[in-house]
Amino acid sequence: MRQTSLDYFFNDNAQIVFRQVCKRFAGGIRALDDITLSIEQGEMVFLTGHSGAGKSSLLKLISMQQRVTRGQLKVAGRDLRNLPPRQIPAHRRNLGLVFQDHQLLLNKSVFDNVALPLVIAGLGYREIGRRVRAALDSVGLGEREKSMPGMLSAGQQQRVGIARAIVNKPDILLADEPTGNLDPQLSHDIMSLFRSFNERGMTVIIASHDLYLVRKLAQRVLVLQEGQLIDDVEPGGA
Amino acid sequence: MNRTEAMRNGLRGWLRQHGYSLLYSIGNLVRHPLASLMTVLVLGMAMLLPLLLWTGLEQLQGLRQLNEVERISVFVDPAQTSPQTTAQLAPEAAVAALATDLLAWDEVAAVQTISPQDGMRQLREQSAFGDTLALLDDNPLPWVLSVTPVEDTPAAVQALLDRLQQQSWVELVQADLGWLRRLQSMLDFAAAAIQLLAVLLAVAVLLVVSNTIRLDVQNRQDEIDVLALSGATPGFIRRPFLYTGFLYGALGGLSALLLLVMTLLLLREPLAAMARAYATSLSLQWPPAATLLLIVLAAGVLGLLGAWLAVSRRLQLMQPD
Repeated sequence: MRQTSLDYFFNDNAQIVFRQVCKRFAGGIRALDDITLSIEQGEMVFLTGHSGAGKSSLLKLISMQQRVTRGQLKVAGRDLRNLPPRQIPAHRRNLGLVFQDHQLLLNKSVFDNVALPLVIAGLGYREIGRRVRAALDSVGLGEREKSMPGMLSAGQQQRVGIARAIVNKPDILLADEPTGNLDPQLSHDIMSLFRSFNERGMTVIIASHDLYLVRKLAQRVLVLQEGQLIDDVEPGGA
Repeated sequence: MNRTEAMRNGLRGWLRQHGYSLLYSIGNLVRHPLASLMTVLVLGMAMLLPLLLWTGLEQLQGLRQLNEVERISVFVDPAQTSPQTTAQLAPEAAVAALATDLLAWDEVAAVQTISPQDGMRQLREQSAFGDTLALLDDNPLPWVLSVTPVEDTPAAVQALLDRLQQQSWVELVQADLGWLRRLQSMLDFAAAAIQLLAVLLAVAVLLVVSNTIRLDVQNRQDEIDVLALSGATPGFIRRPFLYTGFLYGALGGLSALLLLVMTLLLLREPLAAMARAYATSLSLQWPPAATLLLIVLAAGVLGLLGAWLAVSRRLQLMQPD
């Protein structure tokens, strides 16, 4: 990798490191262009920008739904650009993913939805039960484990999605527009949940275009525009 | 945690994952009983045809065993037996000595001596010429040795015929080898045709299961995506579908066997009536239990392969680009 002046500002030991990362799709469509940033363990970071700015693409690169076209991306020391396919599942087990549309399995109970990452990890039934209940309690849905997702409100469904994302105690929580379909009060509640996880040491990265909510939480904000990082505002910044 | 404990936990986790996949697959079949039943029956029907033909072929092989062709009639000239026996023995004793000699041959299983008198008696009983035969002054029939070969393939019978014909005391050797050859070639052709049909229908089973699983994969794409993003390995994602494929195949094989049993039960009485008409004791033979088990397992493996094809293609498409 070519050394640049950016290296002076760069923390190669950070948990997430983007160095001159580009992502292009077939036909030359540019999703991300020359992104360089680092995120420390235990940070809470907002990605913001207009639709199509590259927020989701950046999260997808971290979760290995897409591969970097050019540049270097390291997560917890792993070089994701060259990560062999067989190591992708292990990488993902260190992440928690929250989606705008929750992506709950409607034919499974709340308990079974939240238990999914633990079943994948091969944990015993007793341990699964203990952890699922703890996760549901942490999102305020301890009493709804037997409910089906279709019986829950949008806010509750998003809480189930968050419980599923944190049940495996991931190092990094990625949320893509988690409050996109929620009213302001519910959005605030959900963001409070993310902050509480972050206060316990989890790295949280949230893509959101809700600038009011982002400003209110006073965390680090990365601003993207047409695939480029145009601003990196530290907590308490303008 | 020491290494043994880590291995034990790993094994336990692996078994739990398999248990989850198996239960999930069974649950999936039970949740859609009609669709599952239809698929199983289609597979069963596809497998029934080669099974039925194969069973029929087995019966024909049995029919061949009953055939009299396997006996070779050797017409003996007692006067041409070895000089010692000719000089010293009566024809009965000379022929009996020949029968004893023949029994010592490796390729001969049994020898029955038929005297001219016995031959005449049989001819009177089994033919419509009883009155005519009574008009004969002498018994023109020769001594006959009825030889049963150890091996009844056309080649083996031909080799025995050749050896018998080289004996000086043999006047004539008779065996309906042509009929045996025709039957053998028909059976060989039928066996080859059934094998070909079985291969074609095995491919059909593979495609039916593969297509069924492909549709299942399509219907559960959201679930697969969530599993993949939650860190499931391709093996974990594939496993429930493989179990489903195996269950489809094995249940299809089982239903084919049930249909086969029903068919054989229906055919048993008409076949027995036909056998009675031909004065034989032919009856339907059930395939051995080990063969039946093998058929179910083979069908299961076919289903598993079909599922593997369907899911692997999908998993390939899910790789990040």
